[in-house]
Amino acid sequence: MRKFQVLVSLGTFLLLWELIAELGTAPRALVPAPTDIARVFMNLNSAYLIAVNYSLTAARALAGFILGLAGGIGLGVIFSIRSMHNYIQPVATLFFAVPSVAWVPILIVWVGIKEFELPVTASFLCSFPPVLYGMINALRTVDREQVDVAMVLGARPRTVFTKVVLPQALLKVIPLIKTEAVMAWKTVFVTEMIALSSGLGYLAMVYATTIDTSKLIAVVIVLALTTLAIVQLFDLIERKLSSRWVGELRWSRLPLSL
Amino acid sequence: MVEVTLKSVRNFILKSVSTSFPSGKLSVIIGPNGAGKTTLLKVIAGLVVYDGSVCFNGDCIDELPPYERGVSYVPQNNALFANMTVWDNIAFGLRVRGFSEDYVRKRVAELIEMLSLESVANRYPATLSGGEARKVALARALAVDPKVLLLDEPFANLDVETRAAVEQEVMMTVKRLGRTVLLVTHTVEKAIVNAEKLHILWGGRLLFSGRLSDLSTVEVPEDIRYWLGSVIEVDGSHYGEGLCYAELNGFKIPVHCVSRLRKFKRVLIPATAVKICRKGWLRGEIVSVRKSGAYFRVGVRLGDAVIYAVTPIQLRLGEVVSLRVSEAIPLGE
Repeated sequence: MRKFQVLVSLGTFLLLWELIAELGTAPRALVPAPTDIARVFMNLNSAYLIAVNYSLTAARALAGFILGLAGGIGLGVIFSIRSMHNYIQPVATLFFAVPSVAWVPILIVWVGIKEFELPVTASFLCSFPPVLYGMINALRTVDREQVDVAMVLGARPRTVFTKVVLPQALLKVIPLIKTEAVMAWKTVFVTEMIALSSGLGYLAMVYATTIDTSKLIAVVIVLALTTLAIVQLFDLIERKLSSRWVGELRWSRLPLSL
Repeated sequence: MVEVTLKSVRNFILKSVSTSFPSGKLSVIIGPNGAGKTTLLKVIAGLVVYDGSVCFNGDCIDELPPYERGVSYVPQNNALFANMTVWDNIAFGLRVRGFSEDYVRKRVAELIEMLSLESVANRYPATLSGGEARKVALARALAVDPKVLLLDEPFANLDVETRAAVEQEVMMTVKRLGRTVLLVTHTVEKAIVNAEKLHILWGGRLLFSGRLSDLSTVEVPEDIRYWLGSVIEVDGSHYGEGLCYAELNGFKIPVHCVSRLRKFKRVLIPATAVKICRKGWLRGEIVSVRKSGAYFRVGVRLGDAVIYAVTPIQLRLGEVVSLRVSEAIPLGE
């Protein structure tokens, strides 16, 4: 039933869009019809161009995100120790508060306009502080009684950490990781728009300058579909774990999910 | 025998406690919220820093970390590991202690059968009801065969039926396994009838330690009487199948049936079991009124005895009211 509703909703939207474009209420060059955009994907040259730049953007976003994730989780574990936590938390909070896109101009100055290093660093800085901040908080808010019980039952501190504290902290931090994965993707796109000469962001800027609206919208569609795919992927991971640990009912589908 | 001698506990109210808990028996620790009951359990488990000593049968264990003390602890919120199934929760203590997987399987199956948890063995804690979760926490604590079992408010937050079922399960387990059990509760309830020794904590200090029947012979400060209830002599008693009552001024008061107390002359009437109403047969005069939060604690003279009650209504001294007693605890001869 839900799939049917999604199909009706998207179908109606596309139909209306096609109708408006066909009626000529707005210049076709500015508001292309869905069929014009479909032709962009079917044209080998433009599809190839989009695919090549897409793979560049994806590689950059993924590399920075994985580094940020590993660093955030790893350092989060270390910094959650009480003696270090009080010193690290204020700085982590400060970095967490900086909007990820705000890093781009600073990085242009610090890293320079380098095709790989600049977007990867931007993607890293987008994911690292929030994951670190979230991991520290998740680790420190695990139920103290569970730790006590585990110790009384005979578990050494290391076992308590790996078997009880860490798995539950990771579950708490998954929604944040999902948000940051989307943000890393968007930040790399913006970085490419502002400073680089390759990638989806760059391609979008080129099509905007040449007023090639159908190709521009094709790029935006690719961008949006990837965002949805990321959300879906993390939703799946979250549901797989949470339906077992936390109960199916608590996890409602996000508005972005199809 | 578990002996506890405490001078102070860092960051907690508990201080000056010196008492013992008999081996293989149930001891109950009661006291209002914030009296230091949970802290006392945590001292025995080694989960808080304290100045004093805890000894099991003469061996002091103060230097031992929690994982080497040989105790089990069931906290009020059960603290089931959310990332493990019921089966894995129960097996946790055995696995971390290095028991073979064959033994773990056998022992967990035994406990699951004993506590009738077969239908939930593969479920995760989030999907359990309050009563099931409490039983799983109990099974997990029993799995490691502890020298001392510490239960923090095991019957709290359960509906009446579940509470009765869990209560019965705990009592049967205690009897069957013959473990030293320390049970904490903040309400005067049936569990204290089965206690070999009763301890009353008040404001971090131990005010009473002895058998339940001794409550009628020792002088208990009025503050505690207001909270605990009243010990009164009854005119007669009846013990029958599921129907036990005491007679007071010609009226029948329902009493918890306890087989070892077929005849009793005194009962403890918990303040929370007394309802004040305008009309009724058991009538008395208000002799004391004390404000306690949003409620009033009142003393009602009934012949020679004073019965304490909790009521949301502000009553005046000298006012004549009627009482309805929903339960009493027999204290023996």
